[in-house]
Amino acid sequence: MSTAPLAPATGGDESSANVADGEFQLSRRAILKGAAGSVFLLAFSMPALGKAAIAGAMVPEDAAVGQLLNAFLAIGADNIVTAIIAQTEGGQGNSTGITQVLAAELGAEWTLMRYQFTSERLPIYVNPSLYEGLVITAGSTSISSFYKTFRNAAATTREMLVTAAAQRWKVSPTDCIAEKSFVTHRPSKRRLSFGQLAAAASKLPVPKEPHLRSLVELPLIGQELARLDVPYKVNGSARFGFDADVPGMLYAAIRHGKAYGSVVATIDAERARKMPGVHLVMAIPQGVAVVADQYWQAATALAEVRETYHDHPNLKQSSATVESSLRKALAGPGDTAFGVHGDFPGALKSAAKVFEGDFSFAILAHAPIEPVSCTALVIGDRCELWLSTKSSTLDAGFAAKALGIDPATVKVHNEFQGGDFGRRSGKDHTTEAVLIAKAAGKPVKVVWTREEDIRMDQHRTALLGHARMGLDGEGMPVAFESRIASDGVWRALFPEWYAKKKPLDLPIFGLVGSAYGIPNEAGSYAVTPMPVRVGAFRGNAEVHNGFILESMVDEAAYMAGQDPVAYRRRMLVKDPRNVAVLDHVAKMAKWGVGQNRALGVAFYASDFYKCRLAVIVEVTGFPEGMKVKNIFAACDSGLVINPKLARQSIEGGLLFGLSNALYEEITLKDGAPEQSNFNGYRVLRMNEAPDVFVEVMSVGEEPGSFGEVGTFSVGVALSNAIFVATGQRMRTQPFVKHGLKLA
Amino acid sequence: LLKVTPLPNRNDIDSAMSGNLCRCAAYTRIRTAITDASETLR
Repeated sequence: MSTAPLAPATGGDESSANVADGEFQLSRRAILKGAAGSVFLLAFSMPALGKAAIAGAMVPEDAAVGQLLNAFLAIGADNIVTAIIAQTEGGQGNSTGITQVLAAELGAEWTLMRYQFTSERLPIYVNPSLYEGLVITAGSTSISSFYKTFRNAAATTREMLVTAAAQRWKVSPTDCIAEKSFVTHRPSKRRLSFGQLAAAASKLPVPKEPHLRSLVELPLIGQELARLDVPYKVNGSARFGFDADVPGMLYAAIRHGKAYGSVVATIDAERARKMPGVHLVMAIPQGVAVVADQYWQAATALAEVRETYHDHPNLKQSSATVESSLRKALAGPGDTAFGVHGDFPGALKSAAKVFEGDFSFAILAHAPIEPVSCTALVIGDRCELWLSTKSSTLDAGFAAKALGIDPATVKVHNEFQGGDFGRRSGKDHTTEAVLIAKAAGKPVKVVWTREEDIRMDQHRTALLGHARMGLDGEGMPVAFESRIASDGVWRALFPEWYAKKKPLDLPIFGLVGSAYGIPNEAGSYAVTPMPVRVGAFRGNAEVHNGFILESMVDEAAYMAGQDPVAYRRRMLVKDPRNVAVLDHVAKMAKWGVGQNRALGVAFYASDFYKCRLAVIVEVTGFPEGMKVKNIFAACDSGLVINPKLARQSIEGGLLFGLSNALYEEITLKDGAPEQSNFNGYRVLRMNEAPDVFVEVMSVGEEPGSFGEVGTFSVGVALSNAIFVATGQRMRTQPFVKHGLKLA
Repeated sequence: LLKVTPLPNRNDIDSAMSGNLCRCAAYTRIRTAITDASETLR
C-alpha cells in the first residue's frame, strides 16, 4: 500500500543539527541518504525543527492546544492520530500492529495514523504478563498482553469524540458513528473530523467502561497493512540506540577483562592519556574505558592502555568445565518440575518398550547486528540515558543503582533496536555509561565493539538433558521423563524475582505437561551457574524442552512403526485446533507424497504464547552433504492482527532457530568466549537459507504471539528430517560440529 | 549485482549476497526484493 503513513507527526532532522553545530559527521544515516542523491542535499538544507524528531519520545508537554491526548493516542487539530507506543520496536513489527489495533477500535483512517515511541514509565505501560512493575518488551507480548488495554484506550477516545459531535449537533450519540477518522450523524449525514472534535472531546469526562467493538466492526484487524517502520529504515532516518547524538558528548571505548566478573587491579595509561583528544582513562566494573572527543581517538588510545586484573575463579573455566558441571548437576536429583503427574516410575516399569536420549545445547550469543551502546548524561542529580532497550525500567534501575539515586528520576530515551533476540537490557553498558559520564562531567556515548558485544553478551545458557519414554503395547507414550541441567534466566538476570520464585525458573517451563497428554510424567531441573552471564534468548525454554519432547515423540513414532504426523495427530485429536495446524502443514509440505524425500515434523503448543505451531523441514543431498531445502510452518496463535507481520515473524524465527541449531556455539577457554565476531561465530547466510513457507490461521478473538514461536520447533524438525535421511538422531547442537556434513 | 547481472537467478543472488549477514534472517524476502528490483529496472 503506497499511501502508508511515512512522516512522523513532528519533524526535525538530526543531520541538520550537525550542520548547525558546524560539524559534518558522515553518519550511517547520512550515507543512506547519500545513496538517494538529491534527498541527501535536501536533508542537509532542512531547518532544524527543535523537538525530538524521528519516532522520538512523546511526552505530555508535547500536547498542543486543541489536542486530545491520553497514554496511547494523540489526536491533533490536523486530524492526524498518533499512536503512542511504549513497546520497543526491534524489527518485529509491533509498532505497526499496535497502531493497527488502536486505529481499528478508534475508527481511524489508516493513512491518517502516525506513531511515536515513548520511554515514559507510566503504570499503565507496565507489562502485566512478565515479572513485576516493569515496562518491558519481551516474551512476544507486545500485542497479546496489551490488546485489551489498547482497545480500551481507543474505545474511550472514540466515545469522547462521538459525545463531542453529538453535543455539537444536539443529537443522540447512538445515531453517530466513528469511521475513517470522522464522526458521522447517520440520519443527517453531517460529519466532523476527529481533528475538528479533538479540542471539545478533550474537555469531556473520560468514560469508565467504554463499549468495545465486535470483531466484525474492526475491519482493520486481519489486514495485511504495510509496515510503518520500513520507510524510516529504508531512507535512513530511523534512529537506533547507536545513533544517539547528544550535544557536547564524548565517546568511550571499552575493554572488558577476559573472564566474566573480572576486576581491574592496575592500569598503566601513561601513553594513552597523552594521546590526541583523550579526556579520561578509568577503571569500570569489569574493565577499562578511555574517553575522548571522537570514538576513534578513544579506541586508538585504548589500544595503548595496559591493565591487569585480579585473579578470578572464572579464569579457570572452559567448555570442558561447563560440561562437567552440567553432567554433575544432571546426575543429582535437581528440583522437581511443576506439572509432574501420574506415576512415572511405575508406568515405565510396565511399559512395553522403553528408550532414552541425551541432549546437549551450546552456549549461544545473540549477536545482534547493532552492538549495544548507551549514551548517558549525569550532571548533579540529573541522569538521562539514550539507548535501545527492551526495558526502560530495568535500565533506569541499573543507572540509579550505580549512581545511588532514585530510579524515578532517571530519564530514558528508547530508540529502535537493531536486533534484540532477548539481548537488549543494559546492565553492563548502562552502568558503565553513567559511571563514565559522571566522571567525565559531560555526556558520554559508551560504544561496545562487535567483539565486546559477543564476548560480554548475556549468553543463552548451555544445557544438558536426559529423557526417557515408555510406550504401551500399541506403541503410544505412557511415560515421559525429562531431566535438564542449565543456568536460569531469572537467577542470572532478575535475582530478586528469582529469590521469590525459586526453584522456579524459565528452563522449567514446558518441561512436562505437553499437549500430548502423556499420562505419567516426571521432570527435574538442576540449576548450574555458567561462568558467563546468562540472559533471555529468543525461544527460551520452549526451544530446548520442545526439542527434547519432539525428538522423543518422533523416535516413538518410528519405534511404533507409525507415520510421525499420524502418530502425533492421534495424540492431539482432542483439540481440533492442534489437529488443524498439523494437518495444514502436512498439506503444505505434501507429506507422504513423492519418493525418497527426507521430511521431519515437529509440533508445539504453548499456553503462554497462546500458540500452536507445526513445522516440517525437508532436507536433501544425503549422503554427500546435506542441504536444508524447505521449511513449512502452520501456526494458530489466535486472532491475527496483521497476517503479513505474523508470517514474517515466524519466518524470521524459523531461520534464526535453524541458524542456532546448525551452526552456533560459544566455546570457552580460560574463562572467556573464544568467538568474538562473525568469522568465529558462524550464523546462517543467504546461500544457506532454505525456502520458507508460512501460513497463519486466525482463530477466535484473543491474539497470541508470533515473535518467538518460529524458533520452537525448527531445530527438532530438522533433527527429525536428518533421521529420515541418515538413520541418525542428532541431539547435540550445533549439528555441524557434531557430525553433520553439509553440502 | 544488477549492474553485472541485470536478471539474476537465485544462485546469482545467493552468491552475491552471501557476504551480507542478516541476523533477523530476512533472507527469503531479500531474495524476493532483489528479483523485484531487477524486474522493475528492466
